[in-house]
Amino acid sequence: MTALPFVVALLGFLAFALATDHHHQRRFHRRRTPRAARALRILAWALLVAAFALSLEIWGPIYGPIGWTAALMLAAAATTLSLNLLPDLPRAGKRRE
Amino acid sequence: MTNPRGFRRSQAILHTWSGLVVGWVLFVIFAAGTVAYWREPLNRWARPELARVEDPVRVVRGAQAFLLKTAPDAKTWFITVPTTRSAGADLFWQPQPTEGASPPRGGGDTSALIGANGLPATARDTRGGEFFYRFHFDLRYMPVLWARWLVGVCAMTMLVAILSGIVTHKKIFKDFFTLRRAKGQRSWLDGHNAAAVIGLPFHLMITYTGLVTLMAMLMPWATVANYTDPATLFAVTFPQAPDAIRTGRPAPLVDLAAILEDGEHRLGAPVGFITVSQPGDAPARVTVTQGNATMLSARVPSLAYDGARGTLLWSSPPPGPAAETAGVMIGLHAGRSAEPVIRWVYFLCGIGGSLMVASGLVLWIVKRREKLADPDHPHFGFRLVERLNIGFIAGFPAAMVGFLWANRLLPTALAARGAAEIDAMFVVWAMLLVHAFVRRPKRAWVEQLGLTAAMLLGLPVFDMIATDKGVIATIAAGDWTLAGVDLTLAALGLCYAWTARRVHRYQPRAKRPRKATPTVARFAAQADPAPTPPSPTSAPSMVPAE
Repeated sequence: MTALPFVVALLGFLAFALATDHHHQRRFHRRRTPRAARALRILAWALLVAAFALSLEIWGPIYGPIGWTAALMLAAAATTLSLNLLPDLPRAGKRRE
Repeated sequence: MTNPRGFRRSQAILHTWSGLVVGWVLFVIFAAGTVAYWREPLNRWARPELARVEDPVRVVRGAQAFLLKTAPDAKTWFITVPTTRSAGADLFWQPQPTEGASPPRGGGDTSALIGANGLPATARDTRGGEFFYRFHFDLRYMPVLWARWLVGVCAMTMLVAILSGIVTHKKIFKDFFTLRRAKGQRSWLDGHNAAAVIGLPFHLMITYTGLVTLMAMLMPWATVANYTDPATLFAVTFPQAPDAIRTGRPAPLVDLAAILEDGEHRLGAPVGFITVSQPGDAPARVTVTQGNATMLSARVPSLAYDGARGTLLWSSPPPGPAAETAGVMIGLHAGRSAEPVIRWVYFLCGIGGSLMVASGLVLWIVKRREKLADPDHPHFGFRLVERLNIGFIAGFPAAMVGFLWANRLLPTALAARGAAEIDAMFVVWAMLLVHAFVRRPKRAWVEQLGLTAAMLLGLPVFDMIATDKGVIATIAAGDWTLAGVDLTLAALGLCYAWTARRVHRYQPRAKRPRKATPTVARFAAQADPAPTPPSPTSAPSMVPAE
């Protein structure tokens, strides 16, 4: 239960990262379209807000914001480290020309 | 300000030099503070001969019995109420003041530790985790006031460095997820930025609230203007029940366990501290203070009871808004109320902050190496910074592990053993500082990082062989506090070993950048999310071009 805000924040930061040109190309093997980037960013913000609501629900009004900040930092660290250090996975549907 | 580029440049210069001037001391403060988040587990770890506390009330009863026998007519008794995580109940007492004599200094024979069975424990003399906590702001071998001023100045400079760093690092959001590997200076810069930006809420919070803990010393004007007498100020900020005056009419003290129970019921939270003034006298008074780990604010409420009858006499008024704000900030800084998960976040953020300071210091060197006129004979300032970096960034963590080894290896009968452990740490550190200046820099880095790794990995092994609190035994007993210490030491040891290996293997590239091997990348991702200093993602370029 206490991991939930972290998981939601993690998804949010993954969406933020995949909205950048570099990580979008590296993971999806194609350039991002402006629409996709915009959609990913809106999704990301929505997930961070959801994580805040969840934190308040779980930890209450005093510890909730602290827990949320902690979840954000952990999620940002996990996203940055994994996206930069994990090798590219071979994609099943990857087209070879 | 009219010229934004000029402004940014000035901030970059401010960031570089404010960071360099206090960087080494700051690294030491950060590293010790990070370890201090495990103050209680380390207190237990440092005394492996003690049994685990399972029934705190039994320990409190034992404390009362011990004090009744040892110091029946003391002026005050202080009893820390143990939790299942602490080593036992620390007690100390203040004898009745004798006419004309100054009160005895130091707690030599006016303190004791009550173990899990309620009897005085015979444990090795050690400061344990308390040492790292005190060292974090009192340092060592200098008057406490000087140390706190030094720490305060460093914290203020840190705040300047953080804020100017944010201005300097203009692409803070654009580069958020950028971490280029094996690219020399770029990698160091990315690592420094990532450690700073990801942990920014923590870094700002910890620096600012750290200053708040010292505010009355750093900025005394508000208190000086409003209070002429320190006693009045103390009474206002830390309200206490009126003093008990000794009458000489004896009256037996009520059972402290009963008061403890009533106090916890009234406060709605565990009690952390019991004070008894004038025990055994008719106006004796018992004060119970709520535990620090129970609420965010460090200004915890307290209740005072009649010691002979056990009735409630007084309860602390709710703190005013300013006191409450300061209390919350201090509570945020110390993280005492943090449940284990949040405590781990504090710890990881502390490692991130240490990495930020360390990578900033290394970056100063990496940036200047490329511009050296004669790379074989760098100028004095460059060599000094380079060697100090080794002696602090690699040497100080090694010395902290040396403290833990001294805790295990020094004979238990040694006089002033607790102080000897600390001296041992500084001896190790001094030797490593000398080592950093006499060896070639690359060898010095590898040897000191390797030594730290070996010492860290050796401790859990030693515990398994020489104590009955090895990691297998503690896990089998479900004692995750102690098992966690050993496992964390081992995990940190692996990070250090990996970093040492990478520095050792590093060959400065000719012109073409090498691509990192996938195995290395996979291992790095599995390792601790915020590995030990120096940052493994960019460790290679810290060594000089040879």
